[in-house]
Formats: sequence, structure tokens, C-alpha cells
Amino acid sequence: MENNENTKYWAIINGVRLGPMSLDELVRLAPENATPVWRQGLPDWCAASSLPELAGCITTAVPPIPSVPQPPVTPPDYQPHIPQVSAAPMPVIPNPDNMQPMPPTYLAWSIITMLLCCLVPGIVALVYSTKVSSRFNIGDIEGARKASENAAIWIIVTVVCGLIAIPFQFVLALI
Amino acid sequence: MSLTVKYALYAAIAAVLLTAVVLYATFDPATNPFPRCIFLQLTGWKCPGCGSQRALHALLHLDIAKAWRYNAMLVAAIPIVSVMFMSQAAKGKMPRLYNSLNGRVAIWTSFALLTGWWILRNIFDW
Repeated sequence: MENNENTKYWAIINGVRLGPMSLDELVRLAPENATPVWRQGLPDWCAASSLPELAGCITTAVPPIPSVPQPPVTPPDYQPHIPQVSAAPMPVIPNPDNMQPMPPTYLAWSIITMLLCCLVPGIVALVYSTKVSSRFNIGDIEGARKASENAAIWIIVTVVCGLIAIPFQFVLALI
Repeated sequence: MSLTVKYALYAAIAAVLLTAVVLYATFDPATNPFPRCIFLQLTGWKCPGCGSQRALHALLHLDIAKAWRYNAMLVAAIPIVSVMFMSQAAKGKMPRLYNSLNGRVAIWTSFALLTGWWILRNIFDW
């Protein structure tokens, strides 16, 4: 099973789940160390660097755009294998949610609040926004969702701070 | 969030926005007592948002050049933020666009632009 030609791989690259694909196709996608990959038999997604068959194929830098081949999602050759995959003992693909867009980062709101009122809570919200995308990119949907909620809370804190400040700002304007 | 709460929130935001538009269109913050930036009053330095109210008034009177002089970053941010909101509305259909607009690169770029704007506008008095 380990180095079987027919073993199918899945990977999450830029938050999009790609697969099923062969080992060769996965290598051509030039996964980075932290890219989450999964193949049949693994209990959960794991970092590309932890798979022995990928050792030496991992890039540390992002490859130039033109050389990234579009992953063949379901090339005709592989269709016969699909039923085989779903009949395998580990048929359930972990984190099927990865096809979804990531939870809201509220980045647009952070920019608006930073341009219109309080800065400090806006920056905290921004930090949580980055956490949403980084968690999402390693396939940690639950963590991304939590970071997204925190970002929303801090956006609200920012707006409330801004509203509380308005009377003081009026006083300053009248002095 | 339940759907009714969501719609109530949208209605409240719409009402506040409408009131703000009417207020900022009618009165010129340059000559009327409008809230003043606490950061500017306390430190004498402009924050990234200083001039936003006057810029908003100018924008509502379609005077983009004047708005640009009050707060260039606000004027520049409007199209970007609009695209972000549109991608958020369509994120079910175009998850890739949404993900890239909200990725780490996008967030740190906006952060760098905002802080850069903050520092530069105090040096060059923009």
C-alpha cells in the first residue's frame, strides 16, 4: 500500500482540496513542507514533509506561476479507480469542508474601521484575520472558524469603541 | 446567527449608513462641529483616518480631487473594499477569489499600506 502505483493522494493547496491524484501528480504540484496531504490509509491529513515518499520533492519556496500545472481533477484514466477509492476501508475523506471558501476574515471591515475610527482593536482584528487564513490553509477548519469569530468580536469592539468615543470627540470639537 | 437577527442587523446598519450619508452630505465637517480625532488632539499627529469626514463630504458632492486631498487612503480604499465585499457576497461561487483576497498576503499588504500611510502622512503632511 505504501508505495503502490495506484495510491491516490489529496492535498490542500491555497485552501483548495485537490485530488485524487497520483504521487507523480502530487510531486508536480510542488508541495511545501506544511502542505496538508492525505492518502488512503492515513488517519488524518498530515504535513507533506512527514511522508517518506515525498522526501526530496518538497519545495521550500513557491514555484513560479507558469510552471504550476492545473491539477487534473478527474482525468479519464483515473475514473475506473474512483469506485475503488470509495470502497476502500478508509473511504471518508477527512475535512470535506475544504472545498468551501474559508470562514470570513472580516478584512474589509478591519480596513474600514481602521480608516474611520479606533486603531488598536482594528489591529487585533487584523491579527485574527491572518489566523483565519493560516489555519484554513493547513486544513484546520475548526481553528479557522474560531479565529473568524474572534475577528468578528474585535470588529464589534472597534465599532463600539468608536461610538463611545464620539461624545468625547464632540467635546474636543467644541473646545 | 439566526436569519432574523441577521436581517435586523442588516436593517440597523442600513439605517445608520443612510443617516450618516444624509448628515455628511448636508453638513461640511470642515466648518461644522463634527467629532474630532482624539489621537490628533492628544498627540498632534494624524491617524490614518484623519480627514475621512471631510473627504466623505467631498465625495458625496462628487468632488474626488478634494476628497483625495483630505484623505487619499480613504478614496483609494473604496474600490478595493467594494471588490472585497462583492467577493464575500459571491464566495460560494468563487471561493478561490475570496480566499486569495483574504489570504495572508492581502492582509499584511493592507496592514503595511495603512501603517505606511499613517507614518508618511505625518512626515509629508498629506
